[in-house]
Amino acid sequence: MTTLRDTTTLADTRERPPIERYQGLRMFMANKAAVLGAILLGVILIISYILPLFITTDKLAYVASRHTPPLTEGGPILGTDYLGRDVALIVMHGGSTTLEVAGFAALLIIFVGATIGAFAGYYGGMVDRVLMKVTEFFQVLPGLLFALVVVALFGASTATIVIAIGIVSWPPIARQTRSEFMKQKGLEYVKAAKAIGASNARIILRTILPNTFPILIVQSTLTMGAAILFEAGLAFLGLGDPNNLSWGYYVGLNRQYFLTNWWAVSIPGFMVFLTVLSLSLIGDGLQDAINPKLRGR
Amino acid sequence: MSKYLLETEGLTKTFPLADGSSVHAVENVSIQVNHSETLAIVGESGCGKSTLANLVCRLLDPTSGRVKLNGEDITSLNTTAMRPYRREMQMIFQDPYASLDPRRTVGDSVSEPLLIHGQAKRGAELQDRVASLFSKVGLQEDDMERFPHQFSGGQRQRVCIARALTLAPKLVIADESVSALDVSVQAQVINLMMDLQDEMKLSYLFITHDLAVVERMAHRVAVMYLGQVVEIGPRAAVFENPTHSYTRKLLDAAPIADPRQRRERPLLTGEIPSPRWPKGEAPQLVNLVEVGDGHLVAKE
Repeated sequence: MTTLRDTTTLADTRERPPIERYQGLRMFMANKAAVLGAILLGVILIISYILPLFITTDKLAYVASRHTPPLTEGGPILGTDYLGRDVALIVMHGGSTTLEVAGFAALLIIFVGATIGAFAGYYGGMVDRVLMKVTEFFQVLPGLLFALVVVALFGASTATIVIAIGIVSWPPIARQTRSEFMKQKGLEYVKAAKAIGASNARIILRTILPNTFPILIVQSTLTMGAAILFEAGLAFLGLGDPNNLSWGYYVGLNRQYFLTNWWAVSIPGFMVFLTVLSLSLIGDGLQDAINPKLRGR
Repeated sequence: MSKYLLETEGLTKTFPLADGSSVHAVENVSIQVNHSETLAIVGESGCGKSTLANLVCRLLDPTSGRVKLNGEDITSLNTTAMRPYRREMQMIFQDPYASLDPRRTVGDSVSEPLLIHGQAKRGAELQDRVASLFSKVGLQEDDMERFPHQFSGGQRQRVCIARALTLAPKLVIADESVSALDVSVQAQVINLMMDLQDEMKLSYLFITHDLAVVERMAHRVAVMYLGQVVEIGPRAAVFENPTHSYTRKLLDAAPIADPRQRRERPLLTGEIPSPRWPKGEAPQLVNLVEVGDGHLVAKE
């Protein structure tokens, strides 16, 4: 052991891999499907939020004879519905309603789920048991039925629909966050944070939470997709704002004419499909981008 | 100023198991660490070394006994009350990869103690302080922007050392801190730690199973067996005059670098007994008697 000192230099000057910035963005861009998803979502957002600023004609006005098929000469491009209204115009305006309900619902779901999951997973013991019982209680509620009851009781406003979707959808997020916290809190870097003197709040928010992001981000894009479907389901059953025709609500309105008028049902349905698809493609790309360990591969 | 920087009195930790039995991980350990001294705790896997480190660092609460830092009892302080004492006492862990937040640049990890203890605000000053720490442990300034997975094991352990030194502690608890590194890197890190000891008047509580490291670094050595200290004393006394039978076996088990030299005693065989005791039973406490200057050995 006496020769140890001779072989050493104190500074470590070996070659390092280059520091790379914007790696996350590049990882995301490398995932072709994710880029496609992002473009798709961008187009949907433009259709829903930018186009209505320029097309100011009354979306509910009679434009051509009832059940005019798409691409008919003299008729609107995507045809008319059972009242002779322009399908393209209504679908364009419906996007914002759907996206807003789903977006707020997803935020609520992530916030409630992650908070409860974080507390249960970090503190464990009694806190965990109580919170998990509460979670299980909400998990066994039949989702759509419970949401229907909430909306029927408190009226079909955007807020009640958001809350109804949130109440029935947070348990899976809570469970996932909890298991991730339980896994992470046993790791040495959390112990190191404690040894430095970090408070529990700091450990939860600054140390462990960022390490659950890969899961939370992917979950939130999937949750948003699920919330869109949920909103569509509720609206299809007639629980929506009749003045703001969301895609699901419009599908519901047109469903009885489906055999003569397939387009007024299929076009808003297809928009729901495209939105959910784009969100899950983006979620997949984000998973690659946000994980620093996958970078540089 | 107290005579000892760190002192434990009858520190005990038992982990109760579901069937009523319990694991006696640390049993009645009383050790002292002087200022600017390295006390090495040696023993084989499962003897309670790491539990002892966690108890001293207050990451675990002891079943009984006290921990005193600079003569002040810190055994029952909560997280907030403990914070000022954490400045005096820092820990370096075994696995440098696992002990760094994978999602944070190492510069952020090293500056975190300063922010928590309110010793610096975000900005240029913080950057400078972290940069000077990085150069102190032999890393480059632009390493601050890298993530832990972009370093080698030795570089990561340097980062961990930098983090432990941010608050200019008096005592650094190193739990198997060089065991995961390969031998040449191990030597570099040990030399770095010794240089820092001279420069910053640090004391180390150095937990290891590697006797070569002990021989190089330690001023005093404590040998642990089944949760208890069976021999403690100055390095020379313990290495040249191992008195407890377990210490002798442990020293025999260390490989000899010279192939021509023959072993006089047979190697230790079998495994150490389990530290798990049925309900109502407890291990017999050893009695330390002085056999030389500061050299205490358990009576057998």
